[in-house]
Amino acid sequence: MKKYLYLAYLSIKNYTYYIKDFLLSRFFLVFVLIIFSFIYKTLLAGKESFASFTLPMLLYYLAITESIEMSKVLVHNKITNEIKDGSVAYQLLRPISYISYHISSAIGEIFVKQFITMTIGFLCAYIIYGFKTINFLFVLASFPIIYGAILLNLSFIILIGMFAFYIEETSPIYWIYQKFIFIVGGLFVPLEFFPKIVLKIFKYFPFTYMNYFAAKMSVMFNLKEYLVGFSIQILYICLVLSLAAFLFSNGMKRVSIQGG
Amino acid sequence: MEKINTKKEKFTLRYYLRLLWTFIKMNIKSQMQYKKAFFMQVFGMILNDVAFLILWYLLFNNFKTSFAAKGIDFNNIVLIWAIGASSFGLMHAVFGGFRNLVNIIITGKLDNFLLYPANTLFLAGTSLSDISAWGDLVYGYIIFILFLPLNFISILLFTYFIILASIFFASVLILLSSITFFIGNSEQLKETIFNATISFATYPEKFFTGPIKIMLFTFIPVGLGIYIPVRVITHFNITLFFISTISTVVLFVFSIFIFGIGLKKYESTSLMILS
Repeated sequence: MKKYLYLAYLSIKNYTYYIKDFLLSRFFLVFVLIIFSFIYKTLLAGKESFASFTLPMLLYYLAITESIEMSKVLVHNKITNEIKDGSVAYQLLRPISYISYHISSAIGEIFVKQFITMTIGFLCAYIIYGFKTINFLFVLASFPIIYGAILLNLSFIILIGMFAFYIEETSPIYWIYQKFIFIVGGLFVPLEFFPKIVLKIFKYFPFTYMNYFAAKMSVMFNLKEYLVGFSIQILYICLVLSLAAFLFSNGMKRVSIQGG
Repeated sequence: MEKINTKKEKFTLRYYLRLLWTFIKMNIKSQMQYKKAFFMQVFGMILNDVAFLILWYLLFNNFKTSFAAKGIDFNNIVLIWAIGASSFGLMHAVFGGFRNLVNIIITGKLDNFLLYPANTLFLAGTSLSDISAWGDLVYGYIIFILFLPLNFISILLFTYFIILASIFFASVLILLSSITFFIGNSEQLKETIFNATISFATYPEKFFTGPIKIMLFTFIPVGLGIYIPVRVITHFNITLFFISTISTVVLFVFSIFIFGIGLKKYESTSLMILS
């Protein structure tokens, strides 16, 4: 356990070394919030709210979903390159599980990025809509599911990386996965904004329990939904990581690495 | 490979077009070495872009009156995405090196291009080609043909504005990357502002009002590069046609000028590649 925590600590240290660059890259969120403040105004067309989401709630919702999305580490690229160039062999020599190594290396960086991005997003949302706030106790209570969403996202990205054992390029799989997040993951708008059939079909899909669920609970807390959703998140995390481990162990049998 | 005889040919536009065509053929040939990966990336990018259209279609279904109140219809979204995707794709497929220009400058790779007789910026731009960008280019044409009124003039205008908009995107990248000559590594600044430009370029102009709209026709000139072409294709207007063309050309010339000034300050970093 100590080695995994140390890897997470190292990833935080590496990432925060260039803090200026990191803060500058978060500025993109400001533009996204500005763009969507106009889009939300158009969608609500003068009404107070839609599906109980008011304009300020929507912007805070977007700040949380974008903070989860923008904090991603593209581990699948790293895994794909390691498999392609054979450097996966060096990782296998280490007394550490390959999948756990990648989780630990990424998680520290992701947590720091997400927290700072969310803070910047909240500040922008506060300023854009006339200094209105949401109930921040909901946000505090939602931290476990926000980080659950992050871990579920990371698990899927590692699973995508495992496909590199079987196909040359995993980028197209990642793009399609990302688009599921964009649409049924409720990245830009809550799922209530889509036709009701969308929520019905995707109610128990894992993508629903990433950005959408974490952000919705943060702005519109419901204890029953929270507990059910959190359980589904944990279930999917275990399922996806198990599948990744299965693909890894089978994939290792296919790997031939040139020596010398 | 087609030989370009630099002793007899002057560095005219014809020379650069022939050189560009040579580089495009070379890049495609090398990318097609791994056919499966090539087609996966191209089709993957097309699917990636289709998802945004699905997102908008679902929102349109639920908020028809809200969009109609703003004067936005689904075809507006399709057209702006078609222009945005194809021009972005064209630029990245042919001049993908511009996206990597900051890295080329700070790692001293510019030295390689300075040694050649052809224009340094041209060589830096053609040094890289993004495979998936071909998918973006094709996608724009697919949705234009499927959703929008199709005739010879509309396709001609569409192609013209794709080329113009790709010059616009290239100019923005050259300008932002040239800041590196003056302040050092400007990679994050370049990426943040360029991503903001692309983001604004994929939402209809009618969403935005007030100071933001003014900003979109000035500091982040998406209005000149993308919104005006959309207006011209929707309802042809000769004045707007010329405004869009002239403003893009002026921006392009300005970006080359700034790059030229920065190049005079350039000092090699003595790049060493150990194998």
